[in-house]
Amino acid sequence: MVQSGGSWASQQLAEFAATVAEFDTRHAAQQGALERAAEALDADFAAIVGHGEGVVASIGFPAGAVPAAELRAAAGEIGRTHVDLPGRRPRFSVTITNLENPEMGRLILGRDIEEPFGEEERNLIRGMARVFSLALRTLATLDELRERQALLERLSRIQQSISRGSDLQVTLDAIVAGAAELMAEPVAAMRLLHRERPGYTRIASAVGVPEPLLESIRDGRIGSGAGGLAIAQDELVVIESYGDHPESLAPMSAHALQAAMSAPVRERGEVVGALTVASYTQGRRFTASEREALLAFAETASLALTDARMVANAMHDSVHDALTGLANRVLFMDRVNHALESARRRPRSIAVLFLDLDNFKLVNDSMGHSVGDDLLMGVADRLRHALKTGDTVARFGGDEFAVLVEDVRSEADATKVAERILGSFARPFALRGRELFVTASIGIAVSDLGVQDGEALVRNADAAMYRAKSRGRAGYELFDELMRARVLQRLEIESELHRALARDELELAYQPVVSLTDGKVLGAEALVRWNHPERGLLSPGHFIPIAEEVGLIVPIGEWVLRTACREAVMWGHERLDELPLSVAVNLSARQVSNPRVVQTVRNALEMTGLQPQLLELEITESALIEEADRPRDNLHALRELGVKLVLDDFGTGYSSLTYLKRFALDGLKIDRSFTDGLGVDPDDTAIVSAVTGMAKGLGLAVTAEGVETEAQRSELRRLGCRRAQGYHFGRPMPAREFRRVIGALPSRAA
Amino acid sequence: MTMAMGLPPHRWVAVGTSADPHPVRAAEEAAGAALRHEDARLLVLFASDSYDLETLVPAVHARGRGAKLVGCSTAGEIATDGPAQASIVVAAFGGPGFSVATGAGREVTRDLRAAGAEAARTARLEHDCEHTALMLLTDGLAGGQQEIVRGAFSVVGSATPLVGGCAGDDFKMESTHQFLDGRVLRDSVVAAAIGSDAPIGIGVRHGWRRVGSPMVVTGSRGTHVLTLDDRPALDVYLERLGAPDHIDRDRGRAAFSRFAGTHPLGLSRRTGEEHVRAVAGADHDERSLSCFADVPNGALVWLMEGDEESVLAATDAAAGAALDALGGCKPLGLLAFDCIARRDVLGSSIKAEVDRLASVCEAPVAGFYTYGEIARTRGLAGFHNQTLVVLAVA
Repeated sequence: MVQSGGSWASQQLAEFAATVAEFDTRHAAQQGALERAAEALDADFAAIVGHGEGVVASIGFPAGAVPAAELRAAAGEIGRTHVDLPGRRPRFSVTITNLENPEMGRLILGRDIEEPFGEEERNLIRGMARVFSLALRTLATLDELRERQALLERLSRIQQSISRGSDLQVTLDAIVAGAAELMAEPVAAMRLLHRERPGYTRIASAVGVPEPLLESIRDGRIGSGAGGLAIAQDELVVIESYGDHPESLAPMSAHALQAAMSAPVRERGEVVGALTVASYTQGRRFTASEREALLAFAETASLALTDARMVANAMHDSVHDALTGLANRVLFMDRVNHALESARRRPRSIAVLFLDLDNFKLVNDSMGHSVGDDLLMGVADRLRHALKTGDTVARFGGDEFAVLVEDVRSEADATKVAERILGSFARPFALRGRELFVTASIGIAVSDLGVQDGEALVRNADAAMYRAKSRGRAGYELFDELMRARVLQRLEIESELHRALARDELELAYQPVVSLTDGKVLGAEALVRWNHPERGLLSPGHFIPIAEEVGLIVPIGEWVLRTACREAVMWGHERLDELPLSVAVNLSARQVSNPRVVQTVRNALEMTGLQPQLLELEITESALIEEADRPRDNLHALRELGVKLVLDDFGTGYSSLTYLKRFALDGLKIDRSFTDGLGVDPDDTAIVSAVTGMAKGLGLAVTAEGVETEAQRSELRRLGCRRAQGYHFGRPMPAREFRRVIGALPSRAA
Repeated sequence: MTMAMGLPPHRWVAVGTSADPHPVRAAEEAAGAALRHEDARLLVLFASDSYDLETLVPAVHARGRGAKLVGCSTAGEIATDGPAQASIVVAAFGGPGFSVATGAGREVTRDLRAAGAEAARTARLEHDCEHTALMLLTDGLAGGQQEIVRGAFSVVGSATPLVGGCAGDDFKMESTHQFLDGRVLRDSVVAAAIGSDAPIGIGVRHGWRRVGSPMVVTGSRGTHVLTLDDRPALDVYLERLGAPDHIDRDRGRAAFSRFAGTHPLGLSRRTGEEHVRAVAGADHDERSLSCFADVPNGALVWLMEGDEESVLAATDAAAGAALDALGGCKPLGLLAFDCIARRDVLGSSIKAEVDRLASVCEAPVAGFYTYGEIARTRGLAGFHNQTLVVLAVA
């Protein structure tokens, strides 16, 4: 409980303190404190008269009619007890009180001359002044925090613009403008070391300097002007009496610049420039927090410069091939599209040459990657030299290169370039002390009105290159009308293939695999067919390569696996007392390297309940010679599922035995081309004999493909081959038919 | 060359009333009686909001032949012959001795202080007068009225006294109206700057007495008093005043409002006189009190009560103070801004209050029962509750 007697002043002070504490800006606190004090003391007016600033806040005067001169004069005399104000009734009693420090100013309260301020009231006012000073000090700290916050926000915005990859000039302009704005000065500039003039700097960005003046100071000596000094001394430079400074810039002095402050800007630690703010205000002093702010801006500029250089490098890296330094596919396509556009306007043609080294894999495999890389670099050099400067040469990856030739008047122009390139391959490549002759196949596509975009042009050149390969390599082919028709057909198939999946147009045929020992069916190879609504039944060769190119091989592969496994399970149900039959499914190289393949196989097994050892996955050699880790890892993971891995078409590729060992395969299939010559071509017989013997040694099951005659069958038996498939035993047949022949076959084939 | 005038400037004040329910006839009757001479400068209209104000106000204004008009809706009207309800009262200020300017501040609820300042700015006299006062009639339901007063004060300064009241709506507490010339406004402050070559006096008294010892406001938020002496404000308030149980139990506003109407808080002042804060309501769950004006944290307060005798004594004192301020000049008329709560205390004795006002000065009286009173002659505190403010012109 509070006693009323004598506590009025302390209660008023408590109220005052509570009121003043609620304001959050300096201005509001000043106004609020005056009101509260005047209210408590029934004052007619109250004012804060600042040190050298005049009246900073007042109440009790009509708006726009504050008697500033009289109040200032009164505030000068601390002991004064009365004051006359113009146009007001008699004089006023006043009391004048110092705030905490002279910078805050003095508090004046005035009231009717009949009611002078008593001692208790003066004590109260002194108490209020103290409380108020404390509040102002707190608010000053708050203001400083707000300034800091503003600085941080501005820097953060600039940082964001840097990380968004904004243009360096835009970023530098933002930094310069931000520094000027934060310090409330009109002039700011950034100097960077002059690229062509050693010992000089150049203004890279500026605000508040008129154009003619800017021109006169744009280039400057290191050590001259605030910025030049900051660069020379590698530290913050503050000039607060600009005209008198020995290193001031004459045009700026003449322009009445009063003060300048500059902070060094660095790139990777080295001084490369300076950020300067300057003032036309006489007597301008830069506060400690302003100095810190400028250093912070300069630091941001340093980061921006360093980042910009990195971005420029990254930009180059992103469009260039790391190994050869040639353009990469991205840059090449960009150039092609630009060239196409300008060719259309002129009108001229452009040509794209698609080049692929012959037998590059062989080099890589037999001589090692680093030699392969050396060869690719050597090829890049030859291509550069074989071409005119305006032409673009790019590496698309692997051993694929592309050349853009602009301003082509006829196909002959393009074929001349191809001949020049092929001519440059006539000399051997010197690789690690060895000489190696390398050839290349080139496809050429020349733009004409029919070509809409660069992608099509490159695709055409690629198709022509394949033609060159198939015609014996080491040559070039022009993309022509026939190839165009084929390309169109492929495009058509592509779109139809999408439809095929959706409409269930795919089906599986099963070709029996039989035991050459007793003639019993051991299983079947599942072969996918496309029951095309217009073209009839299409074999895998007609659409699987396209499906691989356009990525449809994955869903098709999933469907094939699932369907084949389900079918094999059905066979088991119908032949409970006999040996279970296996089913073989082809996996393309692309499927093997697909990250989902293991999961796909596992799903197919789990969904159908087929025992893993009854599933044979047939893979091609090309899947094995992929260099990447993924296919290798996938094959190992597949083996761990318990399925059998079989090498398809053995003998057609490199037929390297190392693959058989490295991947611990379960078996191989002898290509039909060897089976064909059995009993006719002694070489083929020898090869089959060798392969069979070798496979036996490695514990691999050998299956002969393409057995069409009884003679071939008995020859294979003689050579020790245990399994075979071919028309002699049965063509690929629908599932229902295969089920019917299971068990019937042995009697026919025995 | 200057020439001394042979005759003193002429000023006159007259009041007319009407209880005719028809707005045009009421305007005719009241304005007709008030417009005793041709040269009216200002009409002040206080009207019950039982009238069709949109018809009434232009009708009164039209009668004034170019005289400015300010006014507002009321919670009861006051005139020379007594208090009334559902009536109108018109006071006319005329003659070359008066200068008048009127204005308004809009959107009070959006920014109280700005509206107060705008009203004062727009009601600026064309030339300086020896004696001035700024009359403010505000939307009494707009919240912290002290801010309106401060806004006006920031424009006119301490040399111009502020006087006036908050418009009412016959205690419906829904919405109030302010009148400016022929227009009816809402959410506004209307102002009339009155300049005169004779003195203008203002008297302020409330007539409440302290109950018990003072307390410290230990928790407040604007107009809400949360704790007194660190205890829930509503508990302290009801206990100390010995309020009957049903006041707290009955959560409908009526019982509490009636009780609170005669039991304000008094804020400690330098002069030893209290500044009255009417208790407007209570939050029975939060156990807090809400007032019609700010109650600062840390303030020293008393609970207060009054009776017929103390209220009538205040009437005499307020009128006396206003007349004293005329410096011996004969009063021409009085305007009274009387809190509705005082009428509740007086009950049937209310006629006695108005009779006293009229008899002390033998001049016409006009006024209204308000939702808050404005009077600032000293210092800054210019908003009052449950108080009588009297303006006397000579």
